[in-house]
Amino acid sequence: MEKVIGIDLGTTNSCVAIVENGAPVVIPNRGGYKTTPSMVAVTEAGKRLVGHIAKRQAITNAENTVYAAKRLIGRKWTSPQVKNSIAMSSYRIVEGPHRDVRIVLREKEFGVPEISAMVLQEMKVIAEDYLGEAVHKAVVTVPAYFNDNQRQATKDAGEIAGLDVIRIINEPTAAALSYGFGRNVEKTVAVYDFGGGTFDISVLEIGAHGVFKVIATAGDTFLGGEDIDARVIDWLVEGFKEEHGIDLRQDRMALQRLKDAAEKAKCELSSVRETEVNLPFIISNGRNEALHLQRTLTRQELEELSSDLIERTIDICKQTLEDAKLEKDEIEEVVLVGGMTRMPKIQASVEQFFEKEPNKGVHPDEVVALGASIQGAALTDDRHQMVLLDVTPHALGIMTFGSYFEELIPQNTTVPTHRTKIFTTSRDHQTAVKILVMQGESERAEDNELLGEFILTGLRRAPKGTVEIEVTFEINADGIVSVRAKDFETGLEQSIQVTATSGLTRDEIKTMMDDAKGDLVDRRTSEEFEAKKQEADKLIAEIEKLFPQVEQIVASSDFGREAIEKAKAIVGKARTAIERRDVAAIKEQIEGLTRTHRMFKGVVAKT
Amino acid sequence: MSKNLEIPTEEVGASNNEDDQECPTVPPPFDFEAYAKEIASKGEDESLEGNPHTRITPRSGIERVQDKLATMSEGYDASELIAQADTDERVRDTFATIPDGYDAIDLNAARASADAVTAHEMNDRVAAGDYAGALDIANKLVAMDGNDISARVCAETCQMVLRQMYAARIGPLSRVPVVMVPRDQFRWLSIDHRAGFMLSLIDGASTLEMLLDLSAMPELDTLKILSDLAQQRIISFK
Repeated sequence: MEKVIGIDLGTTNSCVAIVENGAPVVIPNRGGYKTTPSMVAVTEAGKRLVGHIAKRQAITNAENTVYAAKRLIGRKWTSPQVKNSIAMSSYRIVEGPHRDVRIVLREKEFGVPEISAMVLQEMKVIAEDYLGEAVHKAVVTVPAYFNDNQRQATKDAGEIAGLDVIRIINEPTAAALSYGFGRNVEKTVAVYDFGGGTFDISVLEIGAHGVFKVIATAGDTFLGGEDIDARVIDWLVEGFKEEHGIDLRQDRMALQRLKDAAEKAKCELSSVRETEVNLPFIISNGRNEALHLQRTLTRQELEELSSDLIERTIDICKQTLEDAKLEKDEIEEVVLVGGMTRMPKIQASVEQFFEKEPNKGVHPDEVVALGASIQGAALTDDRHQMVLLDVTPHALGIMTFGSYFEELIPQNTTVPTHRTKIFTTSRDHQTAVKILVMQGESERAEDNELLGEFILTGLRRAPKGTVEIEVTFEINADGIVSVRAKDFETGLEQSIQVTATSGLTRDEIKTMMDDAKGDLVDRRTSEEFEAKKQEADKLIAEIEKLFPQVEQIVASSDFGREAIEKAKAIVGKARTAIERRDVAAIKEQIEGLTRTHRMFKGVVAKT
Repeated sequence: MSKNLEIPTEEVGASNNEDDQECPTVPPPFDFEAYAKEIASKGEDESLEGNPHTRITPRSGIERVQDKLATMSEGYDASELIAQADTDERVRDTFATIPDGYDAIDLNAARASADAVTAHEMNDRVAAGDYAGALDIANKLVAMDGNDISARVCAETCQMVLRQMYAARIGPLSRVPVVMVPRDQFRWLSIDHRAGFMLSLIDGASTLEMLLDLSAMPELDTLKILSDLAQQRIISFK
């Protein structure tokens, strides 16, 4: 049976998991970490960096390091979220050819799905290295509020990375799947997800026989652990400024170290009451003397620095329950997701608000990927039957006269569903109406996302308000939205099927796939070269160590001298192959080197 | 290079005084002055006679180093090469006035910035084997006149020579550097903030090649810092 991996494609970190022997497990990356930063960078030399290495140079190479691409994926250039990201990002965000968003790194434009594909490809490689076989299929998670375009863009990212994304599932659903794995749970669960870059709260009903239904979801895409890091950085910078009169923000190297140290201190304070931030040689002063930063940060100070941010998450929880008309006592369990939920103050605030102790039985960084892998296994194995019922993440409707948004299907409606409403003409003798299909919550149409448009013509010429048009929205089980407008009198009708688009054309996706494949081949070749080179280097060093002894032993025989010459020739050839980076030739020479090494050891052992 | 060394290196590890317990247990930094004197006296004994200013020959500079580099193989120890360059009397003269904690290359570069930059001086530096100083002047000349071909060529050549010198000192870029000094003793080291930044990047897992990607400094600067750290035995390689 083909293996399906589960990927949590996060805003700041990503994680990959698989079900092995009936149990979901997270796959660590080469560094041994179970999560990988969702960061991509291009160095001055044009080299592409993904993951931890990209994060470690994120500030010193800020213009060419992409983080939080997830905030941009599948969004239109005019989207308010894009405007926000432009204002807050250090990398260049430009308009694409299809009103989509592109990112410029070292003068080259990348589509947002292309950037996410680099992260997905990294996760694919991690899984392949672990499994020792190629992986083609994946279940990828997205926030519950992602619209169709964002979901499609995530699918496109998977395709570019060489993955067939067999299912996109909501992150809180994945968390609940993992929470309910192996036990028969029937509960209403709140998933409080405070990650590195975003905050989400979702309420789900876990029903009998593995039925999962998201009944409410909300969040803030610009609120995460990084905001708390920024507060710690400010605290360190201000303290240093008071002491030395130097603003460390002016020096990128100093700022990179501060960012790493702030994140480390924040994490440490989840388990200890105080921690020391010690950054020797952080900067040099005017007299060219190196200065050191050394401060102690207590848990209480960290809590004071971040209290308003934590309060914001609680306000969102409150609003979400109100919108969903849910009482706190209806929530039977609170599941904590995201690294920030390790912070004791956050756990206490959640407990205080929900009036119950949150469940700590799931791993906050891994739970979403584990849930995705469970879903992946269920999709390929008939024994694991699960029904995931989704809701519409955003309201659907049309634009009406005066640029207002008229809602037909409210937010959080369980799909499949259909709704109908009657509209009339807004002008005298109007013979055509333009139906603009939109998604969003704002009363002002321009603040919402335009999904598609069509025109219904042939209306009877009549005073305004007299011709009636029936508009029907339908969402099927696959999440495909159809909109139909019908003139009651004539029976004429027009319809549209809203096709989600990531902003990339098929040709663009194809080109990006080819590029990604090429990069992977280069990377694999380079890795193979390094591995073989190391093997050959080790053998050469051992042979050379034995040369004097062997020469002494065999000096008296012609055969021995000949063997020495041959051995020297093999070593020389191996060196040449290494210099040429010729993997095939190195492999060939490794055989000869191994034989020589064995022979030399034998000669030495006999004496 | 910053003058941060608060305790003279002679005292390191020599005292049993309790106040000195916080001093480094690290080997003392490389003593350029002593090294320069040793090389200078060796050079005088072997071949150099008379007025030191008459001893510079046209091939004592870049050509000589290039000849040497042409014969170098991977893993070649550059100390021989550097020693040769150091025998030039200009460098020796400079060493005589070096304060503690400075190295010759930095001092020459600093001096160059103070003086008016001329093509003549640039060539002198090359002849003296002071490629860092020559590069500094060449860059200034290029900044003043972008069409100064000789300065451009000199800059490129110096960069190439320096890159190979540093690379020869630290070995193949696939090597993984490790910090040899305990973290709590970092502040006793005589390094600047850029070297401090490099130290913060060394995690015992990242290769030299990765560090070049991470440093955000020009490759040459990064190589020099790593080479200096290795020479001071603050880092080693596994």
